[in-house]
Amino acid sequence: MKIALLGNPNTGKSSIFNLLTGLRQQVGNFPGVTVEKKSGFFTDNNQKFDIVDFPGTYSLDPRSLDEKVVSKVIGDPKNPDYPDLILAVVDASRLENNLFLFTQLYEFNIPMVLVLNMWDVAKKQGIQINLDKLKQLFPDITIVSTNARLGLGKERILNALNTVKTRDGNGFIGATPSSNEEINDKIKRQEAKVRKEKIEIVINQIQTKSNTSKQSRLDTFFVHPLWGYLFFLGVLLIMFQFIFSFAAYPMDFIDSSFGSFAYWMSNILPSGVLNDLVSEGIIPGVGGVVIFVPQIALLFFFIGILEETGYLSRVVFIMDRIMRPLGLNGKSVVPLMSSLACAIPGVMSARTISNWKERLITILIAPLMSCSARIPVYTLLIALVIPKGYLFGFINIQGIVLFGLYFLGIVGALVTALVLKLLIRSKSKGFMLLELPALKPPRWADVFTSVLEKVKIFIFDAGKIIVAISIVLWFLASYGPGNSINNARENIRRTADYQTADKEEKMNLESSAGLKHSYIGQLGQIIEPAIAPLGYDWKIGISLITSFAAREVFVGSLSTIYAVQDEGNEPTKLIDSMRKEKRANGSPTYSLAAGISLMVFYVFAMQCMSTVAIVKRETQSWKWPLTQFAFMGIMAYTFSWLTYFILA
Amino acid sequence: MQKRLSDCQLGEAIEVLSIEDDFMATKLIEMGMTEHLKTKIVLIAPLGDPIAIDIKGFTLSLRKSEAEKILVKKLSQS
Repeated sequence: MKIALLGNPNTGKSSIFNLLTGLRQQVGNFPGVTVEKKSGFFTDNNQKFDIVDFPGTYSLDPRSLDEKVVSKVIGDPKNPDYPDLILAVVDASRLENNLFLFTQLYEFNIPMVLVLNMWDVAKKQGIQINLDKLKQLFPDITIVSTNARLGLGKERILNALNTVKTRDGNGFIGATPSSNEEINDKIKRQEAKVRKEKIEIVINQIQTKSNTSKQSRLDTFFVHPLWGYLFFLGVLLIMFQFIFSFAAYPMDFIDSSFGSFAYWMSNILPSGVLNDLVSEGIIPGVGGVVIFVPQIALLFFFIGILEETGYLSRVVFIMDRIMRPLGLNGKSVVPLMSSLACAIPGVMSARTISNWKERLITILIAPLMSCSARIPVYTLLIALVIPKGYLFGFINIQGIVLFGLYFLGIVGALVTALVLKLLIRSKSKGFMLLELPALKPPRWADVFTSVLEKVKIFIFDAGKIIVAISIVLWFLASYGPGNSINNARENIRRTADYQTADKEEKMNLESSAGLKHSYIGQLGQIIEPAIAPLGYDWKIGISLITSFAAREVFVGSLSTIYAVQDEGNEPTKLIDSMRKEKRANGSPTYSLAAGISLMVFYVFAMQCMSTVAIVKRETQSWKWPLTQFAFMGIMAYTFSWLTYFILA
Repeated sequence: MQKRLSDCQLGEAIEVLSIEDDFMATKLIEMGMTEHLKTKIVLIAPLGDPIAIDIKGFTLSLRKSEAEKILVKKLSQS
């Protein structure tokens, strides 16, 4: 039996979904749109129930994407998701508001079970609902009360599902909400009014006291002009402290595990192409996906808590006015802040933005926020070209430069938002009628389920693309035209340096020679004329190309090119080689101008295939990730060129 | 005294008289706000925008530009 789980936002719908399915659930998209489709199954009495948790909506009027999906499925018996049964969830403490969607659903002659959730909250607030009377008014459906937050009511729902009543063909006001978008607003308004008036009559019959929201004193604090922002800043600081300090351990562990696994595999498999493909292409590629999991999980854990408690909507409330002139909205704050850790969870968290244009702009500018993968690049280059010392005796110059890079990224993001706001056309009106749900403690099971869900999406959806690109990059770095790589290795073995080197150095020298003559090496030399105006030579060119896998690969590539041992994250030896590096005219390659130009390049360039993959996943098309790749590339090139031009 | 919802003060008790925009009116009815609803301004964001009102146990935040389209009448606090 197919069940559609429907209800307003913040009714505990997801808790009921989790209660019924446990972890037997999966997340995907509805065909053709970027609306999240959570589906799952459960069995009871030897019957299998497939259940789809539809996005929470207030009505079936197809205005937003979410509503369109719901009305399309419910209104079309031929739709593959068309349900045999509707499980409608309402918040008993706000019954009157929630009945709107319910009565719309009731117009369709689909068997239905109505769940009055949050029964305890209603009771606590002194709201008495005459359940018998309600059952009399809607005799052809089953009505149950639950308290899903506390995990109560599963049995009642299951019982109801086993004793489904057939519908007698009656509706509520008799007008089926149309999925036709052309009906004019006046008619719609009239229909909504009639429905609402009839609901009021029903409410008068079944409920004695109506609710008024009691604003908790916390709310006054959360939206305070000073304390509100300070508290939010504090929350962010704590969040990032945890993400940076806690995610580092599992990330190191994943890094080294995949490293040893690749080494182990390369020893087991017979040497040859297959061995190389597995140990140098596939395993590091998969590792490159898994490495992001700790950050994603932690970030969504925190966001989950903020969302569950209702605090997040207060953040939206105080940030909306500030973000709006940029074509963003209050909800863009979290994705952008998250992107300071990593753009991948940032882009994924933009889902909460219902307005497509605002969501798209948020996604497009998110990777301009300097993420943690840029830190190794920044620190290496700063140590290389920025002198140690203090400005006015107390401001660390290197620190100022690092701050400046972050600042540049943020300014770049905001200015880009402004430009995109003017360029992107959108039909949807900029409405933001937002519900501020009551503050409450989080339900941990729901927080963990959402973390799991986000991690799964990343691994399975973005992971495929990331692994594919890694294999391509591996191929380009391991193979060269004709026999060039082998010849280069042969040549290096004949040099005097090679003869006197120890075993490790010999390997480094060989791989360095190999990389130079691989396709990527050739590509680096081909693009040299293009990047020379930025102050880069072909060796930097190679690193720019390889670091498309991930920005921090830049450091590793340079190590390989300069044939230095990569001792963990200690770039000291690499720095020495880079300092000694000279141009044809004898001046240092890494001059102040070239160094800063390179940093600026990394601020703006979309050097991250994982982000490309996740943007493709979230926008459901290649158009946007490619656009983003192009404009970020143009920004990177232009500003690096300007930097070098001015400084050199 | 008639005025716009966007001009109301924090804590002010009001009654909704009319909503100008049909599209928005429909959305508001769906979320519970109808003409003749008696309500209160419960929160105002630091820059005076958005504002939040109570709709029978449901706190709804509206942007000022949206609130401008809603005519209200001040009620004496009771």
